[in-house]
Amino acid sequence: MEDRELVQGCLEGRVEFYREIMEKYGAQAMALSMNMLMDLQDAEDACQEAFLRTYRNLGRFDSGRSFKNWFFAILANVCRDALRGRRRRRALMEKALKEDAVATVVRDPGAPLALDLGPSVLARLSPQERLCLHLWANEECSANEMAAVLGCSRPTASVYLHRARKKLKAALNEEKHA
Amino acid sequence: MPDCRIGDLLIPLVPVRFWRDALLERHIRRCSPCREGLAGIEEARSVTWSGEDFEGRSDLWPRVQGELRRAGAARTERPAFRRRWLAVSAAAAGLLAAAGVLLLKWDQGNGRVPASVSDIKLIIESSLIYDQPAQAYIFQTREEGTTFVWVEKTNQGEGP
Repeated sequence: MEDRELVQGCLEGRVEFYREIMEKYGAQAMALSMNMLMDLQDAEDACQEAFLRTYRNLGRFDSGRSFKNWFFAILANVCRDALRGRRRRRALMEKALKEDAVATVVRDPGAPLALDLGPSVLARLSPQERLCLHLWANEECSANEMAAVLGCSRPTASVYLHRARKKLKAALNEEKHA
Repeated sequence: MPDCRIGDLLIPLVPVRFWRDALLERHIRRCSPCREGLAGIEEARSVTWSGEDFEGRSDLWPRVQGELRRAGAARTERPAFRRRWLAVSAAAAGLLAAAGVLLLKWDQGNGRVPASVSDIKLIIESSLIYDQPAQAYIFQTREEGTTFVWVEKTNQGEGP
């Protein structure tokens, strides 16, 4: 069934159509959010939030546009919000640790305290660059489609992708020579 | 490998982002040394997660379904005027709470003895978020006598 028909079904109150949409885009959504957030639980939370936000806004969906790009744009925004939240948390933690204000830490046994991302090649890229790289490599999006998801102009999306590919090449070369 | 610095030079020289990006895009399209320094699609695929990595692995539907039901129920139960009243009531409650805090602060500043910070004991024995193990932090600021608790999920960074 076409996305447009599925959306129409949802608008008529048939929630099972939304399940179909989720089954269709769930894995792709997880991949996009994992590439941006690099954390499985955060990615699942972001996907859940994005699917809910999309459902609530289905009435605003312009059926002349691509549903996939519209949904990916919402998901990318949710991921950006999550990253902002993470930055705020880190700043708060750093401040608290610096001020010696942590009275107690109740730790899950065996759980690492580390908040930093692993030394992955992908972590050297900014979230926006990772998003572009993912859309280009895995979703095979054109520059126009990337711009629609990113909410920027086509040249800007191309430049993000160029930077991402340049950084990735440099990182891979470094790894190779290390 | 031949090196091209035009891209690096364009960034500081052209301050208007749209023009700069348009010029860069055009340059990259035409410059083979610039293109040679870029990772290929297979290299990009090897370091990123794709939909195939999550096919049949993550079922978000049960998590979303409950929320959709609640949202649907709320939508049918709450007509617009009722929502307005809810917003007004919430704003009034917020104002009352703010006034209460201000009065309390003013009262404390007028000679009344505040409760000693050391009298307050807060103990967290375990913490869970959605039934998953979590880590809790208890912060206590020095001056204000304020304590707040931050609970965070512990599973970080899984590779593809």
